[in-house]
Amino acid sequence: MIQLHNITKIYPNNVTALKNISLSIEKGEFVFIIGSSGSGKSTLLKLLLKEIEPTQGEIIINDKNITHLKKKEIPFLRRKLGVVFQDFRLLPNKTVYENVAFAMQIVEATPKEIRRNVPMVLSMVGLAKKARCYPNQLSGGEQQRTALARAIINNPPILICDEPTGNLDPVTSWEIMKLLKDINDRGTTVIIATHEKDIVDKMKKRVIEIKNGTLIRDLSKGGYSDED
Amino acid sequence: MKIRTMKYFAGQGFRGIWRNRLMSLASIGTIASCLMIVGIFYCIAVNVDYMLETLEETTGITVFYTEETEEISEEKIQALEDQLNRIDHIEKIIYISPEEALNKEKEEWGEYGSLLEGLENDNPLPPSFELTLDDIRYQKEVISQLNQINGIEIRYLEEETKILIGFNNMIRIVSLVLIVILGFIGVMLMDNTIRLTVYIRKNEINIMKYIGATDWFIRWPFIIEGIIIGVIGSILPLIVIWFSYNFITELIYERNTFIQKILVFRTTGEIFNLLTPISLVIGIGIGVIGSAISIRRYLKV
Repeated sequence: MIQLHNITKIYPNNVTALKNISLSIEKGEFVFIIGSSGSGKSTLLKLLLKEIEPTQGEIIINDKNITHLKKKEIPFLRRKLGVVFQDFRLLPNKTVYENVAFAMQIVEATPKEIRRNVPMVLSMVGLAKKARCYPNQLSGGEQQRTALARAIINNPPILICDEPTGNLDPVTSWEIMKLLKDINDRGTTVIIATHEKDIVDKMKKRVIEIKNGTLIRDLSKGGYSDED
Repeated sequence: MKIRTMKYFAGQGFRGIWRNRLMSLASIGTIASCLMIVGIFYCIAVNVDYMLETLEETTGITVFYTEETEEISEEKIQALEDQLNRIDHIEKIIYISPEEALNKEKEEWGEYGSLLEGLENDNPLPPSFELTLDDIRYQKEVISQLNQINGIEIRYLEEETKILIGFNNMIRIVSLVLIVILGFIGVMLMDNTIRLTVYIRKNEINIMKYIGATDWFIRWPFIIEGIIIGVIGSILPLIVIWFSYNFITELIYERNTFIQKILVFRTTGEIFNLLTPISLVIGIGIGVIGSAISIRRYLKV
């Protein structure tokens, strides 16, 4: 599903963020990417989202080489990748319903499909009753659920989460993780960048650790650190 | 583009205006005040031009032979007319016989006209030609050509013509300079306003890009917002100018019947035939170009 071949990324200020990274993620996997701040995991996600281009190496998503994509094609790649951020990134002047419906309007879904799918996804993430609320009327957890609903509404094969629980308390974090697991159980490939030890340890999923731009560990059913 | 997507863009355009009402109001106000001034100066310029045109027609050049009236033969008059015909920029040549000239004098003398009775048989007035120019600015040129014809006298209002031309040029220059300056200020203010609007929505654009919105999908609502703001901003001053123009011209016509001959105004319809499209084009132009330029900066995610 996702293949990185010898990826190196050197920023214009000569900082080497990633050094010769190769990895492969299969369809339906649940993967944690861990590492301290500045380790290069954000760079990795940015490469997948085509926010930046690699200095060297190849990226293949869904059997398509996306290493060098035309600017016009980027939106269509992103439609295959659901994204969730630490800071939620909801549109503040749209309701929960509108925020989610928005992702469908972009792919020019019919109003009928929107009316059918949005309530379905909202009830799946447990926000059916908050559909008319604006983001500033929601708790952090509810905002992240909205972001999740928006990320999966168009059934992307891959869901990328950048510190999805970074701004949430432990209880809420677990609710979000359960949701992510539910989404994964439905067949979506889930990639989570995090540095929350607790969660990684308990989930017992594949762990990829990056340190100073190099891949130092890739374990299935791993924990946050080697001792586990 | 699908119809529902267009509906979505239009809806978003209106919502954008409503949700950013303060900024939208500022943009509408900027365009409206700019176009208000353009409109006012347009009205003044058009009417001054019109008044000058009317005046030009009444300030002609009179040409006549200096010889005794009896000695001027038909052929001589015909020859002079032929010569006049050859001069550029003369629009109209009217022959005035001594009899006509006398009648005209009588009319002008009014109640004292009877004093001129009895001159019919010994008319001192020569036959003459009244010339009207296609443009009063060529007067000097025409006069110098007329001076080359022997035996004629030329009468024209030199000082008055100079003042008229000067006034005409001044109005044109002043209004042009003002429109350019105000247009420039208008564009700058609009750019600022839209830049601020786009800045407020920077996050929104960023999010849209992550969800997979194409650049045009992001641009359209802003452009439509610019169009709507431009249309409202140009219609408002048009309405104000419509009513004030009617009011002011009527007021002048009613109160000062005696200056009606000089103060002639174009009708409201004539003014708006051209002012409406000019205002709409400028208004929508400022709106759309302003939005498009400002959006460009933020589409480089």
